[in-house]
Amino acid sequence: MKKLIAILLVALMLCATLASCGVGSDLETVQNNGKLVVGVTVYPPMDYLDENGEWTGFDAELAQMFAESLGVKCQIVIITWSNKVAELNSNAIDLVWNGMTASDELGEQIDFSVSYAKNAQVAVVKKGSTLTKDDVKTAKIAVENGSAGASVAEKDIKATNVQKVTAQVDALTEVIAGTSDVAIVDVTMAENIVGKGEYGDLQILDGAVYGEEVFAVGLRKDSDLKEKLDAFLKEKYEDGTLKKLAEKYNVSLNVDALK
Amino acid sequence: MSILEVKDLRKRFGNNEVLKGIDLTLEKGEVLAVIGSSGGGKTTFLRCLNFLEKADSGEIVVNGNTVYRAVSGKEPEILPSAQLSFGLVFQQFNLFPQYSVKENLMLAPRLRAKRKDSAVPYKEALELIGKRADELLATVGLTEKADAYPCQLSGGQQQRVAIARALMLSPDILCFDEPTSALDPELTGEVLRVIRSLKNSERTMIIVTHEMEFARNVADKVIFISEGMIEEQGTPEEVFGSPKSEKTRAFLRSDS
Amino acid sequence: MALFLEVCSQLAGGFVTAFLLFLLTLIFSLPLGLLMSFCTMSKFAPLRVLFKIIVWVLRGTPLMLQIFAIFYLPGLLKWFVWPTMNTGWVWFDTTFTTRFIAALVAFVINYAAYFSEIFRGGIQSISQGQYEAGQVLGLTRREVFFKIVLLQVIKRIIPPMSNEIITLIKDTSLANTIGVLELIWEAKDFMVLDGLIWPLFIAGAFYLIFVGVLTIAFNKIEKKLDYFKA
Repeated sequence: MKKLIAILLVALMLCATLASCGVGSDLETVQNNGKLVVGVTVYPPMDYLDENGEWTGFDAELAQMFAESLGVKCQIVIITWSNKVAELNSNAIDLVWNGMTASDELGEQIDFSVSYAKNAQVAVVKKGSTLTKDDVKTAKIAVENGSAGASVAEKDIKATNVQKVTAQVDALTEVIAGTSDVAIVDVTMAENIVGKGEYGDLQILDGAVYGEEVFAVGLRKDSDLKEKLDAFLKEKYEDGTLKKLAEKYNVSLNVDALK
Repeated sequence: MSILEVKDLRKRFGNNEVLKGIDLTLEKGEVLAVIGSSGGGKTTFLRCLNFLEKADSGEIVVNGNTVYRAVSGKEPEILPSAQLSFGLVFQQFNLFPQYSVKENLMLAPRLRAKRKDSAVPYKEALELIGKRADELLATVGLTEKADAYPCQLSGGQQQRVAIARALMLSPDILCFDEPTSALDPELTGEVLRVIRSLKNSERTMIIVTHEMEFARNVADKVIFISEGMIEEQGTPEEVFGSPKSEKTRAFLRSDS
Repeated sequence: MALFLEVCSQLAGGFVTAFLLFLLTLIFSLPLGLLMSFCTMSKFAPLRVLFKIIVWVLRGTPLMLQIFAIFYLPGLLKWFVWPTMNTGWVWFDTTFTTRFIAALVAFVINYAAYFSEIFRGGIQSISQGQYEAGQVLGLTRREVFFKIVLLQVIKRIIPPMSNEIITLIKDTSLANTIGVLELIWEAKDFMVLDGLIWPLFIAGAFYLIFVGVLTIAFNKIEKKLDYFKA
């Protein structure tokens, strides 16, 4: 028994020394490890895998360029969205770059880069639904827990009947299955998936656009990567790279912030 | 020299003193019957002899060697070889269900032969062990059941296997703990016959039993244990024929 | 049809991850569980109490929380970071990451706790007479356990064990909490990317078939041990 404990302790300490460079300057860590670890979810058109299994999308391409500018490899890993703060603060990843809405609440726990794109929330309903924008308040609404859509439903619309689910796509599934009437999701996400496969029966509700918001990259609090990242984003705006990407992936840039 | 000497054996469970000092001497080839009412301590006495219970104080001497010595309040000293001086046949047989009859007999000697300090090569030893198992199965009349499993045997057959198993290691003293108490009445006969047939000048046996008739016929010596003490001892004729103690007389009356 | 095959092949990748997690969890948690059961039955009171508490915590908190804690807590408390990288033992694409290993550690510990209670029940149900018979035949305690008691214990614990093991294969989906891309995750990928819901049910079929195979295997083992009564 004592032996076992001793072995465990040694293993723990070994891990600690191996990774002890993870505490301190993020920039140094990234350069020492030779790689930038970026946390994403599969979230077209920002981050997704192409037919060859390679990461692509507006954010993925930018992240790879940023890593290149630091002279390191870009490693994109899939995380569970609700764990993003834990992922950053436990040093499991260096950045969250995934069409993340820069909300005030989130800003208390992590830092944001300069905002690079704009987003809004939309209501999605079944095709042929007779619901109008005014009916949304009293309809059965499905939203992703902790998402911008959830705060729109609860704070802006003050809806009476909100069902929280674990992913935006699950909110859409609720609508198809008829277990909810409306899903409130990112416009970026909605435009990409509504009309595809079994989501072909959905449509974005006319005029139901809420809570204009901005996308930013998430960093650990006080990370020294922020300076590099902001400069990088502004530079890519000025040389037109961002504009090209925005057209390619149908994303609206947050021009005011980038200027 | 006596084959077994027991000196002032005492045992208590909590506040209950079960053995209050047992003294006993047994000669080689003798059969000792232990009788007494339940709760009197006779089974505890047998379990102490087999080290299933550790006596609080007293000595057990086999062939002049003190194999067990305990002083009240101290950890008892047990000779490593002590266990094999005794064999025990349980009331509930306790055969190993996953092994066939022959495997039940062979298991313990086989494991002994496997140990590093064994003098004989394992393969040769195994052959000898197999042969001995066959002989003992013949002795208890179960040769044709060698490959059967315990669950396929009657209680009487199981107990005969248990007897053969206990004999495999040739213990100096073979003990029986109420060997027929768990059996249907019609099955006790075959087991008692086997025990009787084992009696010879070489084999020393201690039998805790309720079968008075059997004790009278087979035993060379009888002790009556009551309330943790030997109340009466002697030849079967003495104990059964003309008991001196009032308690013995009462016990024998109630039993017949 | 082509789409169906594509779905199946991607799900198969997720299944391999789930299966590996299942298999490795079994391999490590069974002996660990046995060890833990000995500790919870120890005559040495501090050890016994310690392990009773450990088993209580492990069985008393959600596995999902334990997975979360094992992967994130060391980093959050600045002890160490599970290096985010492929370990280099690339067996199947990129499934064998440190996230996988962290999940594996959580599963092994959690299931060892459940198994230890099953073992304890099994061991304590064996009659004292079996131990005593072994002792009077001069067997060591170790011989008594491995040569006499163990197989009887195994026979007795197979029904509760098969229950727990079938639960394990389905529990592997909890590993996606920390981004281990197992079967359910791969199926949900089709929802996000292609708007397809039915792959989720194909994933269900994967579990169902595997549990079917397990059930047959357990029946075989039970039959095999049918030759004796214990």
